[in-house]
Amino acid sequence: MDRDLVARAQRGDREAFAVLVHQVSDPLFAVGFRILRDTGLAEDALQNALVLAWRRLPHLRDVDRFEAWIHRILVHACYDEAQRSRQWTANVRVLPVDGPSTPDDASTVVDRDELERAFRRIPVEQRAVFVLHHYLGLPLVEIADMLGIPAGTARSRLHYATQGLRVALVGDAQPVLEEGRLA
Amino acid sequence: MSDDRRLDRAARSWLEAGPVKAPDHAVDAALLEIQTTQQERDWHVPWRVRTMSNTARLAVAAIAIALVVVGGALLLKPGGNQTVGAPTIAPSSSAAAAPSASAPTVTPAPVDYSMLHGRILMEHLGNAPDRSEVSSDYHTDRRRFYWMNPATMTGSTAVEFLPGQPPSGKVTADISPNQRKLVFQDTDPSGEHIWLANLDGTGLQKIATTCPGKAACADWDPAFDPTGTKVVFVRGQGHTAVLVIKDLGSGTERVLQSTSGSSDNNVPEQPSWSPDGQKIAFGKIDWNGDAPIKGVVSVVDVLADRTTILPIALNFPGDPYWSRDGSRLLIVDGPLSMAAVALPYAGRTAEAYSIAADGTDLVQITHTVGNVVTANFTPDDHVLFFSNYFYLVGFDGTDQRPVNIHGDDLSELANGFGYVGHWIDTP
Repeated sequence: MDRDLVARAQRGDREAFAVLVHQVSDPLFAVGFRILRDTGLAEDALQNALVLAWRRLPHLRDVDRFEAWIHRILVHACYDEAQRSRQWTANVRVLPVDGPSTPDDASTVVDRDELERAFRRIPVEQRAVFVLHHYLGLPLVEIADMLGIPAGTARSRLHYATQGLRVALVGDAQPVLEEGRLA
Repeated sequence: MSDDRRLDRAARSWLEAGPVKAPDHAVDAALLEIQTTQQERDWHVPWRVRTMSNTARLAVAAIAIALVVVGGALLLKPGGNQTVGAPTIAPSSSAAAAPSASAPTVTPAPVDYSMLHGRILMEHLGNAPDRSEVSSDYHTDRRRFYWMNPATMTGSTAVEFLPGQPPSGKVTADISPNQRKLVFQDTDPSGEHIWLANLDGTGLQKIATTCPGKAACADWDPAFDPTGTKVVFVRGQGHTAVLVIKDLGSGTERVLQSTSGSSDNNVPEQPSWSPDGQKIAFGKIDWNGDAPIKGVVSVVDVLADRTTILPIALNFPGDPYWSRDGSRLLIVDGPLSMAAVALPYAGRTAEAYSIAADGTDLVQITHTVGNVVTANFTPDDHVLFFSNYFYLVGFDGTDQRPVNIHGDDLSELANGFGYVGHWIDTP
């Protein structure tokens, strides 16, 4: 990230911030979608995060931490969207099952439809840690620093997310078809 | 391979699928909104703030120094310190010997109010007024209360109220109608809280407030109702700040939605309850983009939760207090207590005014050579205000005199900076 751009944007340069926006929007949207599992909600979270980042940018003390800082804002915007939407149990979609994504036996444990369904059932804070860890590949210490939470909290959220997925997947074994009809 | 490992691998593969490009319309919409969105300013008020950056601290120190220097320049300029309408100025020998350039004006005998009984609880910022902490550092992070004796009004005899409790400091006090209790806020950087204590130093307790939702709250600017059984305060949560009434007996809270404002602009501040308990006056600051900031004073009807902005013919009215009969309000134009900056505009100083309860009939009641930082009522309906020294003046603007002509200049940075005084009529 260009430090000069961040510093200029901090001083109120909207053109500099627009350049930054074009640099960070795609990765932010990708993370937002994976946390929220809904394109519309992810768009709203992205917009809110970008506007909030602009407003609060003068308070950023270390320009080198811009990316981590704006990811944190994005994650919190996802929390807000998740709370606002309250669609997680009602808006269950049945996604097309693509079949095994890898040739190993992982596909025998779960498929994408089941994961989609199970993921929506775990709290959004746990989803965020799960996505940052498994999608962005961030270590837990870095996630904790990014989100402003203790490392132990990040670890426990990842643990509970994984356990939650497992429980949800097991629990989904029978209700899947029924929910699928409702969707 | 364990089940967890298989699950992790499957999850990673699943997460890889899905969109990776932000829709152009979403990005464009955000950029469009940013074009009309102001960035937040570091506007925190020195003795009301949640946190304060070093830059802000330096700015506050610079402003205070500037006030002293400008005041001094005005005094040293022959004839330059006469203010229209001010009381007769006849410097005494003691005043001439005072070290401060902005020493108080002097009237013929009796020269001050130092023989009045009672005490002043002074809200103070910075180094200890007894000079025990004098150093080259200006500790704006230290916010404490001190008892001042009108008979002396010196820092050397100041006695700290509840030293070290709570650890994050004390600001924005309000005294109960029976003069036995006070409420105030701390300056916890993670979010302020409201505290209650007896004025004899006993019974300190944090008032638990209900913070709805998951976002953290900050509560500040508490004020008693006329019965002393309820407290109104400002709650900031997320992007909104709003007045909340808490019943100290039942613990119930009521949000006055009509008072809400954005938490980075138009925050309701410094509420004051009318004597009949039916209305609450409060101030707001509109930072107004890059234009000069403006202030408004509003009144909310407590039962109806309906807020009305008072039509006051001033640029920056704030810091309202109700008169005892509820017919008028005491306000300050450009109160340092709200803006953290003195606003002497068009050659005018920040002064205290009296207005009718509907915002009309503006009457200037103080005349200073510096600026009035804050003003409020004494138990006998005089106005106590701070302008380097504490002064008293009648609510009709008559008989303005210092509390003690020999008192310390309480704006000396080496000894910290006094801002607000509360005259307590009890020993």
